[in-house]
Amino acid sequence: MDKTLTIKIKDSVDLFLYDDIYLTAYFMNTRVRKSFRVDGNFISLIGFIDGYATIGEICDKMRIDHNVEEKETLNIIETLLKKNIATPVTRQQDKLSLDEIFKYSRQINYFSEFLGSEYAGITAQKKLKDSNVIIFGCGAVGGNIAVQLAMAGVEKFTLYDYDVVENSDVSRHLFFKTKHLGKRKIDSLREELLRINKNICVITYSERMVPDSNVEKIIRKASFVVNTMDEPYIGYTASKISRICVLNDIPHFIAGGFDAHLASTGELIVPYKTPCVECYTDYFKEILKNWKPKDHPVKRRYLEIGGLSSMALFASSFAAIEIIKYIAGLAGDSYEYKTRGELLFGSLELTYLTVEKNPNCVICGGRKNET
Amino acid sequence: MKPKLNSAVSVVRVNEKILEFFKSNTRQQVRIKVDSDLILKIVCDLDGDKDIREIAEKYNVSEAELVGLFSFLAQKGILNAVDPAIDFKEYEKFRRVINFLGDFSTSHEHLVKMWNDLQSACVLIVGLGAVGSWVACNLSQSGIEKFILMDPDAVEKSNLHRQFGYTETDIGVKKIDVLEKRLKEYNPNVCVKKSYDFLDGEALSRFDGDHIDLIINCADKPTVDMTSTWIGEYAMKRQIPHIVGGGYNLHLSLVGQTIIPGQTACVKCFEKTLEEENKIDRSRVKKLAVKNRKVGSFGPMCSLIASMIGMEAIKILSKCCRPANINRRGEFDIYSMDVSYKEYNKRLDCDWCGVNGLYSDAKYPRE
Repeated sequence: MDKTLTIKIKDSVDLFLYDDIYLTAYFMNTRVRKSFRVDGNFISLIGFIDGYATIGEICDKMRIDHNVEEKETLNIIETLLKKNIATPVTRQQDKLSLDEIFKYSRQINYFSEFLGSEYAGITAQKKLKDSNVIIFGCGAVGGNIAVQLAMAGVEKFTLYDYDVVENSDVSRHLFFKTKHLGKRKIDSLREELLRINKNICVITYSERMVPDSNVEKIIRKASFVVNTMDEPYIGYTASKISRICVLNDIPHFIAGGFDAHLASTGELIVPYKTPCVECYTDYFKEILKNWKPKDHPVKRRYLEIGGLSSMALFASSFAAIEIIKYIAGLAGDSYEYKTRGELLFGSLELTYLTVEKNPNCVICGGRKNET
Repeated sequence: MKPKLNSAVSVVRVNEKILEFFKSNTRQQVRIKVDSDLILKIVCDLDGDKDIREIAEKYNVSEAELVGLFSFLAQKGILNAVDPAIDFKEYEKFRRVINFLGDFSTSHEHLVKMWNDLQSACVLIVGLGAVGSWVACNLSQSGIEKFILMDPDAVEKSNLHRQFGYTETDIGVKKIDVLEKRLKEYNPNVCVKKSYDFLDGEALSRFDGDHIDLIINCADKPTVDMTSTWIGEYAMKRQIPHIVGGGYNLHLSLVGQTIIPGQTACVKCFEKTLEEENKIDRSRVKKLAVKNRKVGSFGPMCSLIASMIGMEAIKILSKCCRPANINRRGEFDIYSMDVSYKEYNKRLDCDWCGVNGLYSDAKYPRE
């Protein structure tokens, strides 16, 4: 055993002692309990594992304070490592600086618990840092997603929106500030992102999406695309953007927009693996074929649509979890991302649609992603 | 009165006999039986420009019948209850919230009252960390103006990835002071009473003189169990609804319960049932302390929980509908992306709210 290694008790493990002789390790992630008999030396040793001391130093302390031989101490440490209760601490800085490792330490810990080692957690954090995310539509959900990804450590953003901040945006946009009224959303959001992390690099496009907008050029530079743009309407922008993303094999997330935006979770699309926007469109065409709302009589209806910051925050948090899981590689290749769901405000129940990849889809049909 | 169809309602003719009103804000449906297309025609013409007499003439029906129809539709939140908007304080700024609440309104007066109750409410939030910071911002974004905030901590660098409103330039500054500024950036009318104290069994008594409509517990020090007990007991004593913010066990995250004193299971009811379930004999087991432990945490997970707390808070303060997380708590799993709930009932043998409990006479609303 390498005695220069530093070890720690895994952060996700709770340790309980029953009747002073049975140790139970409770693994929060998996809800598994492991129990075994221990002696006083074992308990003392756990007190010396502080995430800083090396195995050699722990052996010395055990010898001096408790008169325990090195061989016995090493035995216990081996048991702890084998049972996944303890884990080596990484001091490598080849991916991130010490300052970054500290800033994101709790998140790296979170990632590490799923990925096995601390180094894998740091690697996942680095993937976020290196990603390049485009946000089409910087309103409630899109703006929130940008803020949340920036907090999580994404450093390259492209923002696409032509709208300005208005008074009623307060109840939906996390980045809203009264002093930004009348300012372009992309500028207000950029300021917020830079406040979160001054190393963030932001490119902005103050544009409206129209049929001849050439967004392919911008999309091809991105490693991940978020679309929440509801003008002219979400169906149009989603279809246009998803088509380009699928052809260029770029993962994307569609959220917000249209009527259902308040409760809808949106969906992550991995080209050739999950249903694409066109598959969704076909699905809805079928299930909604008898559901045809009449024209609404109120002319300036858009001024009277409801909105709630907590609903927007739910949708954006949901999206951010899925996006980070994907970019940081937390879920693994065989993981199946959720298709669109809906949270009901009244009951706080979450329900999902069962949408499948359409093998005959004109956009993504006929090819499977080899992973 | 010029009846107008609620802008968030879609009207769908399901078949010759059934008409559906779909409220897109809250995804509620109302279906009615009809014997002709007349009602459909009338409803789809409610543009808010015609009064009842004009509608009666246009469709050749009696005004009395129309009054009956419109009062039914209003009751169900299908008609616009906002006009005249001038009755709402700060309508322009908060029109989205007001229109959202419109889905639950039975009349204009009802909607005005819901909004007044929400806007004039005072919320005490204990703990401004991974959940509390999001919740505070969320509520000020929804129009709430009076806050009492309690937190002793200053911003640390390792907080920034998951706690909203704090940035690198705020490191070392008290969280309350940073957040107060941020809340005022959403709404300059926000006023914050601040307490930099650590929570303990006595600390809450300093708010005895304050009117408080809701307490949200987002404090986890020294432990979530202890903060829940202190806050739960204070709230029972004063008959104040409260929400246990929730903590988390890594990818499984706890969505805490909403408690209405006297009506729902209280903190002690939960505790008692949980103890029975886990069958923990506290005299035989002790938890071993692990040094320098930093359990992992994840920002979007915290904000997702905070969003649900925000929704529960809106329900309690506006009384638009019954909170969902009474007598239950949930867990959100980031792998299944699903929330599962487990129910806990109010107990007759509860030390607080049971028949012989200390607070058996707790009632809400207060008398």
